[in-house]
Amino acid sequence: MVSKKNWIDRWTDNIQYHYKKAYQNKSWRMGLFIFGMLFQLIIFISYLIRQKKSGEKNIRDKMEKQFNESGRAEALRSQLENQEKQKIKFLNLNVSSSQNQRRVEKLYKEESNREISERVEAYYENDETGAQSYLQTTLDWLSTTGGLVLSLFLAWPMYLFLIVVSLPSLHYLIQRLLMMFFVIIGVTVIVFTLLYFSPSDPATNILGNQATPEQVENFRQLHGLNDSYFVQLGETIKGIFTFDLGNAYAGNERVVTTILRRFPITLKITLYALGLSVAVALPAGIYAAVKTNTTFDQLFMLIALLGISIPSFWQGLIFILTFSINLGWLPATYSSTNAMSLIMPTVVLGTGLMASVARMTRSSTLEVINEDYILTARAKGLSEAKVILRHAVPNALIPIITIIGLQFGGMLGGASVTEKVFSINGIGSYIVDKQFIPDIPSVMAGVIYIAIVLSIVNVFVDLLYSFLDPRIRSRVKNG
Amino acid sequence: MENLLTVNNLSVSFSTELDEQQVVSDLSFSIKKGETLGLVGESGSGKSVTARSIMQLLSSNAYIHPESSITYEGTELLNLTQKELRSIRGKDISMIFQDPMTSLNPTMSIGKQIVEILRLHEKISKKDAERRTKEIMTDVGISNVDFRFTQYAHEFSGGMRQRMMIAMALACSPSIIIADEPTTALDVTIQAQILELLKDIQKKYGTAIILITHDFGVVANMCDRVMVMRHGELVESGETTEIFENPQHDYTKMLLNAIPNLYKDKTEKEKEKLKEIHSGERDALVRVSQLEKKFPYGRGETIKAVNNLNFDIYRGETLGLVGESGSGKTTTGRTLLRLHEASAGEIVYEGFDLNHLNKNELKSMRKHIQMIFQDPYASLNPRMKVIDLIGEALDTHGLVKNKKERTDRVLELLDLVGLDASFVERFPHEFSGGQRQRIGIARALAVNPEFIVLDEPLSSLDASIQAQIVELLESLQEKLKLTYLFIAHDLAMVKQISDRVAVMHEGRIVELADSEELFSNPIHPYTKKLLSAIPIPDPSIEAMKKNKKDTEEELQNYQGTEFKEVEPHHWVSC
Repeated sequence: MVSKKNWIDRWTDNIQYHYKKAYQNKSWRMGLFIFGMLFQLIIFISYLIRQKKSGEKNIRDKMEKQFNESGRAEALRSQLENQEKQKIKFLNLNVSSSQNQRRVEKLYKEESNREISERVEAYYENDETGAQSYLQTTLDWLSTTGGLVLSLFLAWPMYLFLIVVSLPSLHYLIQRLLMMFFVIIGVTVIVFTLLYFSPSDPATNILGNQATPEQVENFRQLHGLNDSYFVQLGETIKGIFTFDLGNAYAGNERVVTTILRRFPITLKITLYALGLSVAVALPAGIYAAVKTNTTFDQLFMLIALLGISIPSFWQGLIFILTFSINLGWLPATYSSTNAMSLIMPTVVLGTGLMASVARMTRSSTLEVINEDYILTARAKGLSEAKVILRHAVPNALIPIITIIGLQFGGMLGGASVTEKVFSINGIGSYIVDKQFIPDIPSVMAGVIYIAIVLSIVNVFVDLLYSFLDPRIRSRVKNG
Repeated sequence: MENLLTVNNLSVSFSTELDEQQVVSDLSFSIKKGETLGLVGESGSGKSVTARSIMQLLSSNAYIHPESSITYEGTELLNLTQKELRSIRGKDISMIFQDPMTSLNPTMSIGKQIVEILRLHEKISKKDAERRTKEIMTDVGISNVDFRFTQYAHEFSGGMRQRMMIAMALACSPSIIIADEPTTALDVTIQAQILELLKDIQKKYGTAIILITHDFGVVANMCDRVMVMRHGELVESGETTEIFENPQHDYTKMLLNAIPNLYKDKTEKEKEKLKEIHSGERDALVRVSQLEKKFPYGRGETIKAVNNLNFDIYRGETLGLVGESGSGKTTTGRTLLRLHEASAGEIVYEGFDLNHLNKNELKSMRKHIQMIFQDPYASLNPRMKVIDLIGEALDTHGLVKNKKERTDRVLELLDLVGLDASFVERFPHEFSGGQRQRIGIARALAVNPEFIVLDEPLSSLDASIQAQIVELLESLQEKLKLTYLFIAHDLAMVKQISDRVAVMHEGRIVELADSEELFSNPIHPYTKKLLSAIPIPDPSIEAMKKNKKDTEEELQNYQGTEFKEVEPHHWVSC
């Protein structure tokens, strides 16, 4: 019997502590009111009743009266007038007497309000007559079992809210998810608007020049193209939540299905390209940083520059020309059955990434090598290899990994050029193809997909960042 | 006793793209077992380079001349292979560096960094290494070692980080520890603790210490023998007491003279000034009452960096504001200038509250109240020439009518601060630290202010330059009838330049008195702690200083928030 009581007590204390903390933050306080409306209403009524019972109508008015009558108000006013006079004299200002009056009034209002608020606070702290602040009333209710149960029943969203704001890591995560939500909506609106105002007409593009006006009209009716901008936009947004963005104009397949069908291919190539780039770029970059200003380094920088500068379509075409047509080693186009057909697209896709990651690795490592703690590591007697690998690289990698994560997210959006060159049925080529009609549902689906993927990857990268860097971890933990 | 380490004819040069610069020339010295050798010099003297040469930790563009020789226990270190050198580093000879924050790997736990050095030099299992690490951590004064073991550098305070560095240096029981300015980045009370720790270690383990520093007080406190270096050359060396009592070389004499003398008497003029302040003949230029500044801290909480401050600054006086890092002194200075907005309280200047000024009025006030900053390099726009740095102030307030007037005025100001007229067309990076600070002073004076807040203006300057700038500030005060608020953490410096001194601790003023009175008769336990922690550049006094026990209990009695005039013109918070 005793242990059960303790358990409940501990929980009520916990709840009261977190409630109080949340209440003191102005924006969170609003959340508490919104999510726990019914419960807060009851509290408010009880608060008013208590106020009436203890006879203390309004503390603030009482304090204000005190302030005015004690002579403090007069003293303050004359002090402010005096100071203004001094200031005008000292700074040689040109101020009319009405301006002066207004200024003094404004200052008086500010200062007197502040002093009255201080008195109100002091009153509550020393209060013994039972008049209570709103917060105190709430806490009193929550300390009774009945009140607690009532609050759980009526205001359970408020508790969810309280949990979210009280746990820093959860709080952080939910913040990011909320942002992601707004990003997706924002992207949808912008892209949809652009497509809506696009000059090309999907009906004529799909049905062809020979189409009769009736056919065109049918098409437009079928796909809701005659509805207003807002209705169409609304439908699209609704579709995001129901995971059904409609059917493509051409082919009439559900766009969501198409995207899901093409996704694995894009994912596979992206992963391979990423793996290849990182495997080559990281060691090369580290080595270039260690052997800075040597021949290797100069060569390295040159190759990296080339890698970034070469346009992928050119690279792709040259590869096909060389390795497929002239040498016959590799197939020219992608086919899901032939593993060899993956090699060239992977290399082409990975080249740009490889070059930029290598350069970043080099500069990040260079920066880290010049830090004081590397000197400490050497002074300990560690071999140069251990100093670099154990102390320099982990610190240098932190910014690099985040950039790799972001690039990865970008690549998942589909590498349209590479996909076109190698005839890969990925998402990139899909969006590009559909763009020209414009096959609005398909393009929207593609764009929304990219927005979602990028946002998720961003959140993941942020979490990864705090996982790798203990300084960020502490900052997140402490809010 | 034999020499443990002998350095002979050490010469080191650095090669840049353009030329070769010799930073150490023909240096010879030695150190015996258990001895503490001090290596003193100003910036650029080559003392750090010398220290790093011993273990050959120099950068790749450094070149040790072939005639140099460094022998440790008979072995010529400069002939060893990298592998052999590595077995000496950290094991026989180890180093402690100046800034413990940047000298520790931020992403590796502290415990791991010590375990690493243990397992590197000794055949020891991971578990044993962890145990040993925790023992060493306790040895250097870290409490709660099990928890601290897993923490990271940024979760420690400055003093504790330096203790961890010392723990790391001690781990394999070296015979020599080279400490490169180990306490320069620390508060004065923490510095005292770290120096005590080093002394304890020496007593316990018989370690020899090469202590590099620019602070003669530290030298007097710690070193048996001293070497003075300048421009890479050995200027003078000998027993510490000898050097202090009987310096031979002019440079040594100059350095010793530049140390602010804590026991110098006030001049007649200064005594007159204080009398006028006490009698009420001088009026107060600035009256601060119940000043508060809060900052958000963590989630939803606030911290009061400045907490209920009450003090006056009288016309023409220099009020010193002293405190350690985190005491709130810099925040106070900035709040006075409304660079921060006060959370509560008044700052009454010439009869009106500065907090009530609107933007335009505040701009006018900038002609009357100015600030001189700590880091003269960071506070001067590197892309502006001197004439513009100073001229900008003149332009902003419309103080000059045409270009000629502007140039004339700038030249006038440069002359006032002792700089040559040819400097007007140069950029900040072309000047030394002392010269830059003079430019900063000229800039502050351009608008003819009456009140100047100086925020640690001397902290980043060498001792000899500090003395010159202090002289300049004092003469300017007299000439231009200026009032100063001098913020610093160096008590000795503050005493010299201030008429009265206020001591700040955790956002409050704990004691306020005439500077001489404060130093000879400190009342508040924190002030006493601060004063006793200052290393006095006088070996005989340092030798007499006994280990002061923590005044924690005494501190308890002074926790109140009243600021009482305990003795005439001597206020204490209690």
